[in-house]
Amino acid sequence: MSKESTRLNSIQRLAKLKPVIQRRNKLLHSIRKFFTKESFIEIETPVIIDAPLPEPNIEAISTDNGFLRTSPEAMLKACLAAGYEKIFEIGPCFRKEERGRLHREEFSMLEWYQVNVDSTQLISFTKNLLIHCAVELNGHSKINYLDKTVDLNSDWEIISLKDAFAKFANLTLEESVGKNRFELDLLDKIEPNLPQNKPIIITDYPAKFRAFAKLKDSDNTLADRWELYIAGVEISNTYSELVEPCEIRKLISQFQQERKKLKMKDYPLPAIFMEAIKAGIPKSAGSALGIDRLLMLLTSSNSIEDVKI
Amino acid sequence: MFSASDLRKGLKIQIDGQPYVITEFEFCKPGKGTALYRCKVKNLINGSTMERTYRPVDKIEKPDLEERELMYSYQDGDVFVFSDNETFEEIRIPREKLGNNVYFLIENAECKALFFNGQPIDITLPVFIEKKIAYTEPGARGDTATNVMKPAKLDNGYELNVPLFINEGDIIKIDTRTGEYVERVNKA
Repeated sequence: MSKESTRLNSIQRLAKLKPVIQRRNKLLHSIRKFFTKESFIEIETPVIIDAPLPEPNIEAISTDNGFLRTSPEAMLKACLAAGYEKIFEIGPCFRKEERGRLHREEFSMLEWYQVNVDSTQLISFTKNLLIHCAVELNGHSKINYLDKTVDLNSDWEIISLKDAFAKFANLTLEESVGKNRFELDLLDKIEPNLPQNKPIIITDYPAKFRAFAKLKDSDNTLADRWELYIAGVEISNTYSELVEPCEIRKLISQFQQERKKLKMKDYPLPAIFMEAIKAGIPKSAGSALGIDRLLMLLTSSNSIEDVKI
Repeated sequence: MFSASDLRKGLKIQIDGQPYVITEFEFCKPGKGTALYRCKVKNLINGSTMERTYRPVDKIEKPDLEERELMYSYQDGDVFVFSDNETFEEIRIPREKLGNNVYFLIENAECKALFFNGQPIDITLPVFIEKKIAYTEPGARGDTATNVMKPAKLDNGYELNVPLFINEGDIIKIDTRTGEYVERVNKA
């Protein structure tokens, strides 16, 4: 009896999702159209992998003999090392125990890489991509998200974290990182105060939060990395890739130590990534964008559960 | 102990020796940093609310909470005496812990009580109870409107609003969650 009623509820949910799933289909189609026009090739890399990149703060879900990927980053960078120049992938990624309005353990990611560009060159590319998708889906470049309106065609404001802290917080970026409260301050003091009427690009993350980004040439305490916020939603993460082999190896060992300290799972070395490093990853930049969140913005949906089966 | 990843809306946790329930919950993970679990919590004893943010490494205490089925027996001055349906143990709850519930206690009524560290902190009565109207001004004859209300009193002194057609001696149904009139059960 109860089994039957749960099943009915799931079916009802699917039926309710149908209009948004139709729009999701249109969004995926428009993304593919854009990348094809830009001469990118779509790649499908394995979802089950031997070892995830040992990033601090991201935990992978284990399978019987491997892991579900947390992102396609390692494999796509291996493709760069193998001579692919402009590549993108759309597909599911998995992050253990991430559940909330903007998070789900299984979510859909768009990730793309291009050789011979840096992260700032991907700003106008991202802008063109999002305008293209919005126009294809809604017929205009405006995002009406919940009670906010953002025109993707307006000037995107670029704010460095250092300036954002100076403007909105009662402590400096260095103090916040030093006191181990960066995430909290970002959430409480910075994010709520960001302008909500235009897309915002936050740049210059502290080196501690670099992931596999290269450090800035002008300041090696900062990562050459930016994040896009639209209507208060963190939508994509972009960096100039770290390609220097010794530095990457050092970083992997440093991240492994950090993970150990945080009592996170011990991963085997990501063999394909180590091979890519050895073969040489070319100068490149890449971006990861949450497709579910983009669809939330384009359909004014409150939660990831409202846009994904 | 709970881990931060156990946190969710409705979970009961202990903070500084007090029991709380999580009323709002949000998972955040800004800027490739550590995950933050943001909770709004409500104190189960005094109802006060506050915000708490946890990190993945945090451990959160589990409160010693127990729900027991009780039956109301009798009043002993300012103490109300219940008996446990399973153990028949006598549970004595002072008036100040019962609030408005004291007006809705009926002998032999089945209640649910929440115990924290062995002490009763909350009691849930049957949703509907029946009580006799002890005093109300007479309404106009033939007036059956239900949207116009007048004050009335129960024999234990509790005051509430009832429709104009209710008279002294009528038995009415009361919703114990709101303390409000529901319907007339018997005409005097």
